Amino acid sequence: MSIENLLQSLSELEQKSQTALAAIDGPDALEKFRVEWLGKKGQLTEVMKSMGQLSAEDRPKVGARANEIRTQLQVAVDLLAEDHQNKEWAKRLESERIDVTLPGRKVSGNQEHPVRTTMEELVRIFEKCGFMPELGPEVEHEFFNFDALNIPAAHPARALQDTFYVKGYPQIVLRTQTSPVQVRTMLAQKPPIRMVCPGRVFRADYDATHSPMFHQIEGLFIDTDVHMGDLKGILATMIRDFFRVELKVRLRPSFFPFTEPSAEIDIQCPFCEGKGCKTCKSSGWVEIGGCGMVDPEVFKACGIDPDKYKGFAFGMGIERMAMLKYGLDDLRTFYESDQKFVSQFSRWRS
Amino acid sequence: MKISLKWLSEFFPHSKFASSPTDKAELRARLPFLGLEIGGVQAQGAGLEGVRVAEIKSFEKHPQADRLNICQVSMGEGTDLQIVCGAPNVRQGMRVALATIGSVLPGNFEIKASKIRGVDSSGMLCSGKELGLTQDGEGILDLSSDYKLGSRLVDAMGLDDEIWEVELTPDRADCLSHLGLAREVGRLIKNKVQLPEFENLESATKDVALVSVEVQATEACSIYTAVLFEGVERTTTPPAMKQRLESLGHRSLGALVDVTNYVAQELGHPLHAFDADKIKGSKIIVRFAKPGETLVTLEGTQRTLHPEDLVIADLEKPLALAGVMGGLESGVSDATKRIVLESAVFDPIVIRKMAQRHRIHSEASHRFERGVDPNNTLRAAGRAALLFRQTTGARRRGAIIEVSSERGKRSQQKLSLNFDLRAFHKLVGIEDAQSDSDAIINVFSSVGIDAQVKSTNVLKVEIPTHRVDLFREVDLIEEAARLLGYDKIPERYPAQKTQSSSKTYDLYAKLRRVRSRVLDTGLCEMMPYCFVSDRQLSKLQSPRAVELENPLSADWKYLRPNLFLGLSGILSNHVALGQHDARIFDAGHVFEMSTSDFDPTSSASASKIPVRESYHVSWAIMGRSCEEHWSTDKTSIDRKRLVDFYDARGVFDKLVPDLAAIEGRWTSTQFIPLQDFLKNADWMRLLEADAPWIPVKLLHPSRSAVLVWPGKPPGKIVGFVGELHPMEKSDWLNLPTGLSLGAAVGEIRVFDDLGRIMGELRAGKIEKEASPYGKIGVSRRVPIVERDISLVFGPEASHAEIEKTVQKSVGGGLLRELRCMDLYQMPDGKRSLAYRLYLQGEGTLSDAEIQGAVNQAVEGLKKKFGAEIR
Repeated sequence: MSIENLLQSLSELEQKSQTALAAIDGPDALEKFRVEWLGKKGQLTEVMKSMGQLSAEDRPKVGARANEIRTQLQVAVDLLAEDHQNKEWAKRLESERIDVTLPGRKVSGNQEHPVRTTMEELVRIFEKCGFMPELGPEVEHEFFNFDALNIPAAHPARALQDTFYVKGYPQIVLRTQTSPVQVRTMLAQKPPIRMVCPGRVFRADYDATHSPMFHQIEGLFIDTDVHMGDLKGILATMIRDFFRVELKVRLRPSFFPFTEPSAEIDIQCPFCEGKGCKTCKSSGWVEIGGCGMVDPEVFKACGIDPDKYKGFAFGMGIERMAMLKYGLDDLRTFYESDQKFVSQFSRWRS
Repeated sequence: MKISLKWLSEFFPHSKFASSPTDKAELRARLPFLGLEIGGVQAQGAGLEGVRVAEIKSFEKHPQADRLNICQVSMGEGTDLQIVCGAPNVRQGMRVALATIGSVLPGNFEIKASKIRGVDSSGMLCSGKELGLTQDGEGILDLSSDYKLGSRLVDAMGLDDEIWEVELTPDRADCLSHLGLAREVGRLIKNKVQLPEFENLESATKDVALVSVEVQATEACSIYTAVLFEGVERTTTPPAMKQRLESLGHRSLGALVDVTNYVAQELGHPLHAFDADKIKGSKIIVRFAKPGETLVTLEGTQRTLHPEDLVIADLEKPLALAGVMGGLESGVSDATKRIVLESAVFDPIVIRKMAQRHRIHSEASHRFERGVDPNNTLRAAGRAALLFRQTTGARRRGAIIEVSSERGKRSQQKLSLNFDLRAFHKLVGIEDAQSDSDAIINVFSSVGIDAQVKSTNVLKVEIPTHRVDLFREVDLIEEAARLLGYDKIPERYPAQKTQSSSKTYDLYAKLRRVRSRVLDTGLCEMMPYCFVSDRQLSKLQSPRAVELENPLSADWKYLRPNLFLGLSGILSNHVALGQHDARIFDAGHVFEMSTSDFDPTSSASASKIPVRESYHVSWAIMGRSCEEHWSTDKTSIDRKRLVDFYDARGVFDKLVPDLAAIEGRWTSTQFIPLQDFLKNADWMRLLEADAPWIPVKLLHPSRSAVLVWPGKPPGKIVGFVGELHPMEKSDWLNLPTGLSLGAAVGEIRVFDDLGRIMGELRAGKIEKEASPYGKIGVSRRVPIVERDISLVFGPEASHAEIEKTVQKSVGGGLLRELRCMDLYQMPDGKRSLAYRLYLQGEGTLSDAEIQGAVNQAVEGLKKKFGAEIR
């Protein structure tokens, strides 16, 4: 066979293959086509076999032409195969359709009590400011809960706090505040001191705003150069970090036996941001706790030189802070509710 | 302290602030910044706009009701109104308060025209209580005949007053009166306080005294004055005084008592009036009570007196509890003609202890406890003298007697203190420019405190005797800061030049870690009250529970000895709300009386508290083991499976690594069947002694375990896991009849004796952290091979034993893990158990090595338990 003949039959084959290619209507037909045209016994291979009769200089020309057709066909077949596969997948994926609006299987996660969350959040805020948490017992000796805090037995301030006593031990009380931890810390450590004490406290009182059991966090900072301005600074930082809005902090004169000067801590109402609402009784301000400069009598009782050292202390109710953050008005809900109540707080956590 | 704004304004005759709404509002807004919080404001006469002064012209019995009268009432003009009234005190010509139709009384009570038992009634005749004016609801208000008919009651009675509830801190004893508050208000309105008129009794001291006073207990009574009054002509309190006292919440008790109360409210000094004819020998003795003495106090209680009770006595017996409450017998009555008025200063601590001992909280004790102005005794007595004369006609006879101790005389002198400006700036931080000596002198003088420059930076401050709260320099620093205003203090962020350290932080961090790991189990944290009842305790062996002296209720008599009791209470609340699924936990302190002796007299007693606190974690799971989901196969067992022991145990298994970081022994915790304890009396005694908090009676005896650390058998008890006892469950959780649900619980003692641990940490002991992991192995990059074995065991072979045996039997360190994959309880009591061995070597294991390991395991089990391959 001459080179012309060969090239001629290659062109015819090309024609034919194109027609056959166009007729392919599914994966089976495609496979048949592949065997027929590209297989070892395919038509193209047959033509190539007769190439041996050609001269050495004609052989590459025909080879190149045959390869061109072969490649062409291979590409077309691959494309078709991919196309068929895509269609198959599309069919299968469609058949696997589900109702995505149905609820997922439950993964139980963090269901921390909101009081605990609030307490931990406050502790972390203070930790950032260098105030490390300290702990103490919940059942205390009156020395730590009262005497060392400048609340002697006959002081009217003792009556302010309805104290639970342990039967048979008039000196043993359920701590009415976390302040005894401050005393224990001051007795064990030399200044400078920078600590917070979070914890559970008890008072014999029960209504919508008083629970016999609640939680407090108190802070104490003692150093040689500390004044009320530092106290204000720390409180402002804490409020900003906790409520994540700029709320003004204001101190109002008050009395606590363990601080002098003493103050109540007011913040702009976090609900209305100071504009006035039901929570703040239209005043724009809510009270969150007490604070002051450590009374020299407390320093003396704890073996710290009141002339050399000054310090501030502050304290607030955890539940109060949680109520302000989450918008609750009955303190008792925290202790008397069910799992559903606690679970809903997970949405608040970031 | 209730304050009448009108009364307050009488101290400022030249100021009109009380009649200006804006001035009033400004005062209310500013007082809190002087430390005087206003807890409530009550506008008097609110809701009384439609109430008029009327007169009963005539009345007759209601034909259908014995208790009702039909009254014809006139308001001066117009036609008379017919009003049906049930009050017992109606009389002809009586001036009454008539709520006209359409008026809305306090409590949102609207007056409408009505028919009462068939008789028309157009309005209501009101009692003091209905109008919110007095406590008296028995009869209708009997108004003075001076009141103009038809006028508004508010105008006639002068009810345009405003009552403030001032919430005083205990240090501000000086503000327990209208005079006291006036001193503070005076600063705000820039007006000087003018004292009310009083008789000068000092000029009377030359006269002969007709009573005598002997103060024996000089340490408890620094000043005692007494004056005799004679010629009481009438004891009816004038309406204005009565109304004023009642508006402040004081019952009117006749003119003699009312005058003393009036003066106490006005000037702050408690007074007491004795019926002079009841004082034997006309002699007053101030002394402590003698053993066995008794006294019937005013309200009728017979009291046995304590030797530390200070009494006012005559020659025979105690007449009154000094400064706390008068005696019934010696008190004044309508028949009293002569009175002895007492105006004294008693020791705060003595009074406080008496008030506590006798559980009396009186207006007098409240003031004496906080401290009274020693210079107020004569002024108050003089004011009372004037009011006695005006209201009852009684006049002073003889000289006033004043007995003062040395201390009493000293207390009448002004205290002089130094005020160092540098100390002020150092503590308060207000800038120097805003608080120089002139500024400080100014603010002090605005509340009647004299200050003058003594030397550079030092002021000499004279403290008036009513300011019992100011006796140290630091008190003056606070006073100056208060008066300058805390808003002048600039914010500063404290320098962090020191490293903060916390001794107990280690403990805190561990608690935090354990709690967060419990949260990881998906349990929900609950915080039940930590008080429990007798009934709850009855389920524990011998709880040594901490009992409260003054519990709020019988249900809250003790502190919790475990967390389980609180959690099971929450479970039963869930059931009551129809929520039968719960997965909850609690972590916190539990309490028991410690066995060590507590000596309250020892000076070291404060460091030893007879209550032992430990830290527990407890969990409770109830209902179905799996969450119901729409996709669950309806025939699947899991859907129906109720919570059982293994749900509760799973929580513990998850916690082990974190617990091990606290105490290494947690990794070797053993689960001993509760039954083994119940069968062994010695072990039970041990459980009662070491872990009385385990609720043995509430646990399923053969589906519960006691957790121990290995040691002398049974080991150290550290917790329990179990199902609730099927016979106790319904009752304990209040299950509705027929409802069966699974409930499994667990509790562990994470820290034993927190007091000791905290004590050691504070003393500087550093706890070495136990490694929770043991020896850390290198990660092997070789595939793990799984092989299952299945054998039949006798009933005695426990999983723990089987596991131990396999671990011992498989050599070469090839066994990475062993898992129980299946359990089949056979009818003959034997158990078929399938185990999966996870094998891994240094290199890829050959079939022979794998088979060898499997054979070792099987042979070991055959040898140890006589187990047979299935």
